[in-house]
Amino acid sequence: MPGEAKTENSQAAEQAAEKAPRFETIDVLRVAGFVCGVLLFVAAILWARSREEGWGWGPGLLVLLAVALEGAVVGLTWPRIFLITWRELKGYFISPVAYAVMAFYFGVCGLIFYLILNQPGAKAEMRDQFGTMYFLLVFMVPILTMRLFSEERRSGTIELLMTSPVRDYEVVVGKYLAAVAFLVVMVIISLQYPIILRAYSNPDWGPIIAGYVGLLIAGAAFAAVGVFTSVLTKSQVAAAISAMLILLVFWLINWLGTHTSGFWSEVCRYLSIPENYEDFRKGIIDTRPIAYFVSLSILFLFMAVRALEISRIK
Amino acid sequence: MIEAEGLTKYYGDKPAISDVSFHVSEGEIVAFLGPNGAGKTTTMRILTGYMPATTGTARIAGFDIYDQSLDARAHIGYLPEQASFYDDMTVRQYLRFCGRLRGVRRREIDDRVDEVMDACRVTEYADRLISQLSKGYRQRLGLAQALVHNPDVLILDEPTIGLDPAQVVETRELIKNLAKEHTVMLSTHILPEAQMVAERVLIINNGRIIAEDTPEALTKLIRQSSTLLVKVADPSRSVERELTELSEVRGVRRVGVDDEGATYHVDTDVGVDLRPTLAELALKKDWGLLELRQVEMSLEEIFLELTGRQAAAS
Repeated sequence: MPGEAKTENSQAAEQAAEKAPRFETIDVLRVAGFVCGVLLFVAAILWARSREEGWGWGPGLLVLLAVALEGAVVGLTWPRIFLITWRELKGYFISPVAYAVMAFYFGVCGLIFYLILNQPGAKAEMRDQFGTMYFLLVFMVPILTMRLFSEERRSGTIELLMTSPVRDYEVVVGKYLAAVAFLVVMVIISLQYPIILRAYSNPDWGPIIAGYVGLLIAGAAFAAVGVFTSVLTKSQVAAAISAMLILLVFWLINWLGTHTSGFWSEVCRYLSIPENYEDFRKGIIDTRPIAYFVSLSILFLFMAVRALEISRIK
Repeated sequence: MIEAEGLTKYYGDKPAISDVSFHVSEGEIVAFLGPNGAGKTTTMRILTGYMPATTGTARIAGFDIYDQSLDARAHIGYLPEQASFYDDMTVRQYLRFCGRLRGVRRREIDDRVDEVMDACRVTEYADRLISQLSKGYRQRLGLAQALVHNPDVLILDEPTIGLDPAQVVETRELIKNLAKEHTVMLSTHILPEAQMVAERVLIINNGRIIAEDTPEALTKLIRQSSTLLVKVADPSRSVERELTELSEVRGVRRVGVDDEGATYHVDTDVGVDLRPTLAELALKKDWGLLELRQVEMSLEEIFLELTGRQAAAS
């Protein structure tokens, strides 16, 4: 009878569908979007290398496009991540700590900026300025990230977060992106320095852009370390201090590397932060430092997710 | 809707819960009754996916809480024991965040938030910061966030704790109403609450479920207490002597004296209702009978009784 045959067929079809591998359109979109973004980024690097003047507006714009694309991929296919990011970001702008950090950071940077340029024969460049900005981030970023998990664990709000239908890595990435977004805001405010330089002279934009790219990438790596330590402890202060210590270790092994010789001293130098931002400071955007900072970020974010999972078992 | 099988959770060497198994059918309202430290919160944290069990399985709406965690959690509305919230958000912002996080669509979220605020009577505080809410309103907010995504299952850990008597009554009414459209599981250490609100009571003590019963059966159990309370105006010691001399009396304790008279607990043989006899005696001896009633079994006594029966049975 036709009715019976239909049900049998649909049952078979259901079973077949269940056994087939689950590749949903969303996974395709994610992979496609991610790959396109990486391609754009690589294209930007290649283009800059092929040009005489190196980095400039063209490749820079491509990089921004790549970042925007990746952002869109994340936002559209992992909507919960940006939900968490947005909530956390609003929280930043309500908290006094964030403003205190900004005030301190720009106070010191502004002073250094003035002192550097006030020297006779000072050039319109930001090389030394960047050095200070990088070093300060080692202390400022952990203070920004300390509240991300420590506060939630202390107050108990993490219980509702972790019993909601969100994956642990979505929570970690969401909060991490909020810290990075705040960092971007700080960087945008620091654009006052190149603008001031422009008012008095005609600075070479290539090195400045490179310096900023490095600042963002390094800052993002520092934030990953801060997120990790924040997951580990209920005390915000402990989270901040341990992140600073970890970053200082990565900073100071450079000294160890430069004052000794041999295979291990090379390793020390290559793993250190100062060695890796030197290129950016000088105006070079090279893949090795980028890979270094990106790897650092991924490593610490991965450890943060693991630590979060382990904290459930308590 | 909720199926737990053999749930066991060890903290180090000590088991917080052992072999907890039960099921809750759709639309049922079940109470988890037990003293503090019995394992109610641990069980609920396992059911909601906050922490994994050491052994055993749990399924919510057919989804395994461990293997299909995201699906299971999407069907749960959870009110933890000491619910805390993001103090830097307003009530409305917080409920929006929770709703969106749990899958409520963008075009439905505003209506949904309004609905749930209305149902929990927090609408007048919609745009106030959560830090400004009193304990009673925070509890209402807790219930609201558990409801905002219209889950099939509600898991409420001590929902009336810390509320004043009027709020307690209100909350219990609200929970009973919710049972019409949701499956509810709540925990409490207050015996009358379990009786009033639930259709079925699971009694847990020391990490094990020692009894499962309807409130009526529990009430019968309570009434089987064989202790009577007698209060008479006559403060003299002869009252105690005369009471002890009655044939079915096993013991007499003077438990209190005030300006009205003296209060005694009279233990009788099991199954014997001495109230008529005592009333007559008090009248005959002109003691001035002020109060005569059965002493209700306390929760602890019930547990002792039940664990005693379990031990006797095994």
